[in-house]
Amino acid sequence: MDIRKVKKLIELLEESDIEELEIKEGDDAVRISRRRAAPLAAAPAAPQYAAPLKENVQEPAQDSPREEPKAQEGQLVRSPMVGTFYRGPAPTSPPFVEIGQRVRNGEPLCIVEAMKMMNQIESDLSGTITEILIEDGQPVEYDQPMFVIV
Amino acid sequence: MNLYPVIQILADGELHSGQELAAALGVSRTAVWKQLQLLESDYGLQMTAVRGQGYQLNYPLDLLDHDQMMKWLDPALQPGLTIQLEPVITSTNDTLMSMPPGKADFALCAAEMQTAGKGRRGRSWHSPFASNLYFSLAFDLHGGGAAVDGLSLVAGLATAEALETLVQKSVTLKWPNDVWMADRKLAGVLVELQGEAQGGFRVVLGIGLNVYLTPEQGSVIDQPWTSLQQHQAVPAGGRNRLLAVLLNHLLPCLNEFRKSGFAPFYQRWQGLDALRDQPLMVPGQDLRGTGAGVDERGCLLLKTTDGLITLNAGEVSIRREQP
Repeated sequence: MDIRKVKKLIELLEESDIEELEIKEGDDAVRISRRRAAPLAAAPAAPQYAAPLKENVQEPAQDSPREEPKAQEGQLVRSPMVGTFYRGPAPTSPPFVEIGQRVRNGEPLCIVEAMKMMNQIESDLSGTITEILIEDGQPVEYDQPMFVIV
Repeated sequence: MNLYPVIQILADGELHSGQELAAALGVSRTAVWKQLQLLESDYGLQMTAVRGQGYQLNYPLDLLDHDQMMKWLDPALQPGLTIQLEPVITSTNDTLMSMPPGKADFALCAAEMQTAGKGRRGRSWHSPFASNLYFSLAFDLHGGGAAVDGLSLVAGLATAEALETLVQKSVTLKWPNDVWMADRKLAGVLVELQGEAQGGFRVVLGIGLNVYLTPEQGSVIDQPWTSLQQHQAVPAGGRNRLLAVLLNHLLPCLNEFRKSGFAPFYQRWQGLDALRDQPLMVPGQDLRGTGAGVDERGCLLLKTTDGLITLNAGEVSIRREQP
């Protein structure tokens, strides 16, 4: 199928409310599916599209094998600034999260402080905390990974 | 029940009849006393009942008032500012943090009293009713992670400069942003950030300024404090004028910061540095040295036996040791 035609179809889907579009033309078939944001996402995720699929390959976009290795490695949550890393809102309060805990998109993970500016870092995805890479009260650099979420 | 209407009546410190107060509350005269007792228990306002005549507060209140405040506020700032004045609120920072950005450049929330006023790292900010100023500003800050460098110092500096000009008393700054008068804390700043480095930050900047705070009210505070009243430095126009005058200087400073960062403020900040050449220690760390000003990002410089150390976060205190 002409790639320009696929592009046109994607644009068509983008402009509409259609969830999924499947076109068959002789031996060729393409299925384009709009990936919805997780139900608890704070902001709607940008539409994503599965690659045009060959005939008889009918996997839904959500289970696309391309996504799997990334999910196994986990996503890194990085520090947006230089500062001090705190696991809880106050020295006497319990940490926001522990290893093994499930977090949802938008839940607080930690605080990074610089010059009495407190930046509460929230998870931008839902998943399970598998690693906490910095100890409470330790310095953190810009863009340094703080958590692994799978 | 909203007791604010009776507080407004009683604020003048004069005697008011039970009938007048009952009408303001919409309750019977016999029910007034029970409601007024809440002024003491919930608002900490001390009151005297005069048999057969009515009630009066033991001292008058200087209430925040939108119209009074606007009289002092620079008209050029007004289009870019939304103003929210609340009698009682958990925390002015929390209120703005939970609000989506509006159309105006700056959002202001000020309260007569905070039930959960916040300081650094879970500390509370003591916020008795109509005694001091408790207010927060929310605004957007564009640019990368370094865009916030020095912001909290600029907030402290702007507060100090505005106060010094208005009340004609010397004030100093204790890194990163405490405002001191005669070596005691007069005002504090707490900045909270939301957002990512790439997309810029939503900033909520909270300021607490002790205005009328009395020794009795301040007895719960765990560090040396002072108030403008203690220095006979409350200006005519009271808290409304103070709030407006602080905004008149703070908003232009924040705008300049958004454009040029900490650089234009660097020298001015050094000029008010209370820790310069003072013997300092960092609690919780085995770190001692002498205050050597701040760097161009706003970090504190500490001269130690091992050389110059740059502090980005945490707290420092002056070592008061016997020679």
